[in-house]
Amino acid sequence: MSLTRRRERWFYLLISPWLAGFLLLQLGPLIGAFLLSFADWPLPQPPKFVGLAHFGELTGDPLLLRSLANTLYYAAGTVPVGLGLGLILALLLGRKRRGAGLFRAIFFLPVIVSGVATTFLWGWIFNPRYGVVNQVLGMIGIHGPGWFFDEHWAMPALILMSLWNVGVNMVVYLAALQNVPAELHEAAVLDGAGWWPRLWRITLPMISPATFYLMVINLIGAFHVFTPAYLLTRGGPNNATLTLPLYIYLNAFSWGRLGYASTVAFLSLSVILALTLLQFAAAKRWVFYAGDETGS
Amino acid sequence: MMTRNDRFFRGIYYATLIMLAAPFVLPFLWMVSTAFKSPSQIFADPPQWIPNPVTLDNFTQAWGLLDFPLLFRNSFIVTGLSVFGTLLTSPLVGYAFATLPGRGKTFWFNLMLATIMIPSAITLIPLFVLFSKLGWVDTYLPLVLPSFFANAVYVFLFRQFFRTIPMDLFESAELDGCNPWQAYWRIALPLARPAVSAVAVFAFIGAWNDFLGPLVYLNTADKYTVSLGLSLFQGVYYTQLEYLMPMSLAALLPVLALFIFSQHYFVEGVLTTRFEG
Repeated sequence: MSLTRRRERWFYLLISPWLAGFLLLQLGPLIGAFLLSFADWPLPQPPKFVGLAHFGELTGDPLLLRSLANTLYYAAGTVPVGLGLGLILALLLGRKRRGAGLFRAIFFLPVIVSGVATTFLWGWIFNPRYGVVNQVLGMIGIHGPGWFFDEHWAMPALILMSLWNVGVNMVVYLAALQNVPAELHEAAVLDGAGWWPRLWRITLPMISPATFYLMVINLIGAFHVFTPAYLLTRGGPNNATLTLPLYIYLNAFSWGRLGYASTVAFLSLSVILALTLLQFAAAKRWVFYAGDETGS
Repeated sequence: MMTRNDRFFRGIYYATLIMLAAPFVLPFLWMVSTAFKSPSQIFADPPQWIPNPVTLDNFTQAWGLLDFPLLFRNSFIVTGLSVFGTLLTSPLVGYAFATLPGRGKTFWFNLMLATIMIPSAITLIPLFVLFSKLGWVDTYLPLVLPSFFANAVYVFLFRQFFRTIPMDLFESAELDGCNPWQAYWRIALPLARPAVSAVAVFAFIGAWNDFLGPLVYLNTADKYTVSLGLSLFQGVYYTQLEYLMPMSLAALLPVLALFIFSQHYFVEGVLTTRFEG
């Protein structure tokens, strides 16, 4: 057996842990979820085939529509602001000024610790009576809203809370800014271009692949928001924070409707997929790849 | 020479940064401050930032409400096994993708990257059915086992790392009679120490913060992790904040400590390699 053949065998041997995981933990369950969406399976009883009944149920389910609308509201609230804030932080901290490292760490810290504990912390901060937000608003004469207790303010509170994780966007933008060739800026300065035109004509086009990447990733992330909606409000008040992942979870694990939950999960996946493909199609118009004149 | 103008702009620069940083720092300080206050101070109007007097009562009483030593032990078991599984397989697969030839390698590699996009919500339900049929519900197996099958993001990170090392090094080892496994184990892995420690930190934090996994799979209280135990206290509708804040603070401490010692992994290079081509 030739050396190359033997090394090929080694290749498959060494990647076998991932390959097995892909088949057992991803491809298999994906097929399983697909089959499950045609069945009812009230564990521990055996599954029952129900045909397309769950898909029919999707169209007339007010809670599903509500959770889809809530998730889109959340995405529309978090993605643009999160991108803008991440870019501003990266622009401020891009050059090696004194203290920049400390500030980067501060802005990134919430990403690391986010979980049950920080979710409770934000619940306390947004407490209508004693929370620090409304106390501070009260000092300047504004009567703060009920936040998680008010169906109109619960989602804005969830969105504000999510902006705490903007450190991810900052880090990606920092990496992208490092790759903008300094000569471009130097040449523009020689031509008399100020800071603002250089930002619009050089920096933003050069980092547009990062912006595109973050748009895709943040939008997918918005379809995954579960922990705060589950812990703080259980989807309330009046379903104002019922997100798609929470609705899937409740169907599967609180109401024992594994089959319908799978159907909703597939709907969620198709919406994510459609929005992502839409972004890829739109990207041809505005994402600029250096060294590629066609821009594709 | 710094002109007056420069000094003015530097002042504006740091003032802006401090204003932006406030919402990222003050919540933590507010948490610490709440944890050390008596209930009457917690609900004081106007709010008090500095507890006076400082009380440790909340901690001693919260300690009695939840079995914290047990929760921490459980979290360390789950987290430790997850980190171990990740480090056992992810660098190995990354090494194979970086150095070995294979028919269909590009296909497998692209497929692996595509799997990062599969939302966990969709595979969670069939996996739950599978694990409950296997009788693994209410054990740590469903939480820990997946990490032994290599994580696509970390594999990608290791592959990028191994590609920065000259291939001759591994090839000459193989000419000297090592097989690819030995070349990996004796030469590549020791060289990859920076990437290994970075991934260990990421995997630790991911497993420690995981909430959905323990929520779905663990049923009996003596198996709960810190996140799950803490979640029993019901969010904003829970009024006994004097206990919730010290418990939340305690739950954060391991990750907080880890971040302080490893923050350079996150804000410099290593993490960002996962975001590039």
